[in-house]
Amino acid sequence: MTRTMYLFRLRELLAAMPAADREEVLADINEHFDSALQQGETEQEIIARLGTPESIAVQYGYTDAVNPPTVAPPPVSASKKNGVGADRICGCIGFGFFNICLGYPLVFTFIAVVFALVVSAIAIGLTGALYLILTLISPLVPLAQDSLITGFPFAANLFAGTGAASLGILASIWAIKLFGLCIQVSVKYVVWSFRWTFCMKPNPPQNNPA
Amino acid sequence: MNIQFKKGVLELCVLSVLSRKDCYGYELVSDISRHINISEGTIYPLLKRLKDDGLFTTYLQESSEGPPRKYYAISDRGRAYKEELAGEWRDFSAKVNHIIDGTDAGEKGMTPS
Repeated sequence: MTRTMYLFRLRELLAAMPAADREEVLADINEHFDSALQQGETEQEIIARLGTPESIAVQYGYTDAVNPPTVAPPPVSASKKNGVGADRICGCIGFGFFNICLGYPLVFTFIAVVFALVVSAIAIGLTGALYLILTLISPLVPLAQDSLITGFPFAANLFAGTGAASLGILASIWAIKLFGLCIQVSVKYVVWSFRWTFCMKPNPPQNNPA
Repeated sequence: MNIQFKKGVLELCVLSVLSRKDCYGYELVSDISRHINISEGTIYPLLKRLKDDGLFTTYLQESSEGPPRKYYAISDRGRAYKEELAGEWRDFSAKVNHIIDGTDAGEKGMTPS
């Protein structure tokens, strides 16, 4: 019996209970499942320790174990009727192909573009700093003047160098932050998609069953 | 262990644990299960009954591990009831032990104390 089946059966047994009380009971049991799953227990272990839905219903005062269902049973896919999770496997394979053909190339392209931005920003900053240094030493070292823009007065060269260096430094800082964020998001996506593609154990469910 | 013993003291155990600290359902079940082997599903109906009787209050607290948890906090009425039950238990268990000791003493031919 799974968690969903357990809670469905308990809901069925408590059909005669006032709705608000019933939902509270189901929320309590659901929370118990969440907490136990977080501690590493399996659904079967949790159910074995809780006892049967019938035993719980009896303790709430609902001794009639044969209650007409008031909610429709959860829909069962054709593949699950045959005992095989074929739809889940197909989904995993399809998602894997999507990642190989489009997902991962996009992620790596995005990382490469942002990395190129980082390199460009650093290059602009270094160029600006070098230009500024050459401008400052040009009155003392005539050879440095050959590297400066011809016809530009000293002040203009100074401003150009300072501006380029400042722009480069600011751009580098933001580009590096963006690169770090990009890497974080990409790693999370790759790990999540890898787990999904190979149908690994999902995270504990967060929502109450219908 | 005799199931009737467990049924009889479960209420006192729940009240005693909650009189020391607020707990959420699974935490309370785990604390008690460590000492007494119980069917964990028996705790929640008991908690509901005691809450309806005004012995507990409940509140939601955010959890870093998942959805908010419902915590049970004992009320003043619950504390008073717990002290009353605990006193009755100590008295009762002392008398039962006395009967047990007296029975053993009788079988050995000694005068019970």
